[in-house]
Amino acid sequence: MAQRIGGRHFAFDEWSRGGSWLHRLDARWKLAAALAALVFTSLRGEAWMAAPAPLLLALAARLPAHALVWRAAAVLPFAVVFAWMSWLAGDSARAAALLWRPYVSALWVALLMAATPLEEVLAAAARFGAPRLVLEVMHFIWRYLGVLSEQAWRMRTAAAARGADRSFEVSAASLAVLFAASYQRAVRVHRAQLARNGGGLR
Amino acid sequence: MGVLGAASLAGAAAAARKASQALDESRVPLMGMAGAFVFAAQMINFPVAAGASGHLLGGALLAITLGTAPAVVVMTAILAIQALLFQDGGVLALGANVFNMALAGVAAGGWAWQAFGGTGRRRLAAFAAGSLSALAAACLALAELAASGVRIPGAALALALGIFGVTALLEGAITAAVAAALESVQPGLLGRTHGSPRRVLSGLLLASLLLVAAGFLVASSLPDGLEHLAEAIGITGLERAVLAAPMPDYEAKWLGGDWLRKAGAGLFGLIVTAAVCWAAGRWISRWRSA
Amino acid sequence: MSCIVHARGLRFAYQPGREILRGVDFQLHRGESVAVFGRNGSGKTTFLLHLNGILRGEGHLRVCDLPVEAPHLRQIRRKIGFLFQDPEDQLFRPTILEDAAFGPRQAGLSREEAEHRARRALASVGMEEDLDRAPYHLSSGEKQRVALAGILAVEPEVLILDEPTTHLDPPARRALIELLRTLPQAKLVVTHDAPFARALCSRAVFFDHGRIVADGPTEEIIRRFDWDLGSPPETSPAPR
Repeated sequence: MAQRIGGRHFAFDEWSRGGSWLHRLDARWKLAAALAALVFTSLRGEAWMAAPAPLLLALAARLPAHALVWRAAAVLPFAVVFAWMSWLAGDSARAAALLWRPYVSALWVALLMAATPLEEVLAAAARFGAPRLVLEVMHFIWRYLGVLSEQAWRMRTAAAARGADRSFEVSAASLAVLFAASYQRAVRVHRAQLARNGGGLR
Repeated sequence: MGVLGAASLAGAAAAARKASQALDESRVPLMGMAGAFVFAAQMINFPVAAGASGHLLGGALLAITLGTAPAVVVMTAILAIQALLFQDGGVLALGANVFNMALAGVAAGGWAWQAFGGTGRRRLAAFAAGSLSALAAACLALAELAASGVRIPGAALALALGIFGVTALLEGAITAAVAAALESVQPGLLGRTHGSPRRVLSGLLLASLLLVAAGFLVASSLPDGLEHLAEAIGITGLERAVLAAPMPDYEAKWLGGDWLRKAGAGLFGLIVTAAVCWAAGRWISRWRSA
Repeated sequence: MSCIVHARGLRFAYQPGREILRGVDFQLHRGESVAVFGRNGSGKTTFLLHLNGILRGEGHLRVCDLPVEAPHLRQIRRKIGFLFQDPEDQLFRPTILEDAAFGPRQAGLSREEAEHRARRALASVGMEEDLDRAPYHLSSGEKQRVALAGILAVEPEVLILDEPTTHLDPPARRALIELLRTLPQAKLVVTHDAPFARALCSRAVFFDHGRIVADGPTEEIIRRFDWDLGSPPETSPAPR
């Protein structure tokens, strides 16, 4: 993720605001179903047969199934290595499992996030008893991810424009400035929330 | 995965409760912004050698600036966002990742800062915090890998540990440099440290955790070490639940003949060593530029 | 009661020994538009943050006939609409409509009623389409208008704007002037933008080292403190 966090991470935001039957289902059902699917996938060997299910659901909800297939593949580079090692050790069953398990679970997660706005997933998780503070921080991170990445990108370009001053110290100073700026922005956001009488998850 | 997941959830919940007491009303913006910062910070390269560069992992820096409990919460939130929206790390590994990086890694960093930050050598304390945090997370991850049945021969293990050592040193250096720069940019931003008897206890807890991890690693490098160990502490069932496949035999079953078997085993050892090195390299680079 | 903001002897220090406000006396009347000038660091924004209780100082301060203290803060923060300098800091809901409806929701209105108010407020600032979009893709001017709508949706009595023209291009600036002119609320505008102040405010105050040192017609204050980039005291051409 050293690349800029730009349009890519907004895709889920847009997909999740569709109007299909799946989108309109209560987020608690969807989260519970996704969790069940994940448990099933991690424990049962036959779960690979259910792999087309998230894709069929995506199509039924008018979501771009091919995009989900692609996104879920992000888990593969890591999984492939250990799968290969297991295969070399003679255990092809485990090797296969090390491939399809992460991939299928990523598919289920991608479907969940494409059919449910992050906010609703977090609110549902709060109802299920997940620690509230963690969820609120997650919400905040997602909101300001783009803003700060933009800032970091601009600092990086500015540093490059000033010439080959790329030393360890300069990078550390850049990070410190970015951190201080983030801290000040946090203070401003907090004040803006106070001024409107609130903030946080519902 | 189940056990680690439960432990992670309990740890995160405890940290959340503690963090809610520790920070004031503005904590969500502060912590959230710090989390977004860690994502953004991945973009800044730290040149180490010709062509090679590293990045901040962040656990220790978060612990130093926010305090240990809030840092655990932030790191957990980061890992969860990565798993949900970037399919990074995979959601099945979330329990283990939270345990290694958000709990152990942050705790190690926080402990080092608490232990050494009060002395005048703050830069050194920050370095220790960064190094220990990265080292703890990496060793635990490797140990879990071994415990789950993936065979890692001794030579590859030594190499992996060497790579982890370098990563740890790098994280320490970056953490120390950024902490020092922060003090000049905005003094007072770094958390105050206070000595307490709890420090000794948590240090012991950490040490024992790492010893257990080391034990796993050592056992995995011995031919039958892991089977014996597994039987001894009865985790064979656990392992089954993790990957739903039987524990593989060490020797390559598909080769017949004694000399062929030995050669095959040797060759296999070499290949696996190379694979583990490549895996460790990818692992590091994934951390570094993920 | 025609006086909506009444401050007398307001003092504030972030840390002991570093006083930012050293006794501010100020009154704002219903429907007035007042520009707030002063150098950076003279205490303008700090003063504004006292009006809705975000900062607490010493001295006399009443807003809409309420003391700025704990039991009244919720009400005060509905009556005071504070538009911060960077709209990015203010838009924290996932969609435009939800952000504008946030204030009414916090005030206890039902979802339908809150959305109705939000739509009305958004329409009044000229944002009518694609309300289910996330605000991140909007231009600075559009983001500012969404933030303003969020404030207008709770029908405040005072609008406080902190350097509102900083990120705006000239057309957006003009649009903002026209928009603000249609709003009946009293306005307090911190700005370095003299033409903007001239167009909007009949009265101005000048902050210096934590006190208001001048209070009068906008044009007079601008001229007295030489606050306009475009018209130097003696007209002289730019050096060649």
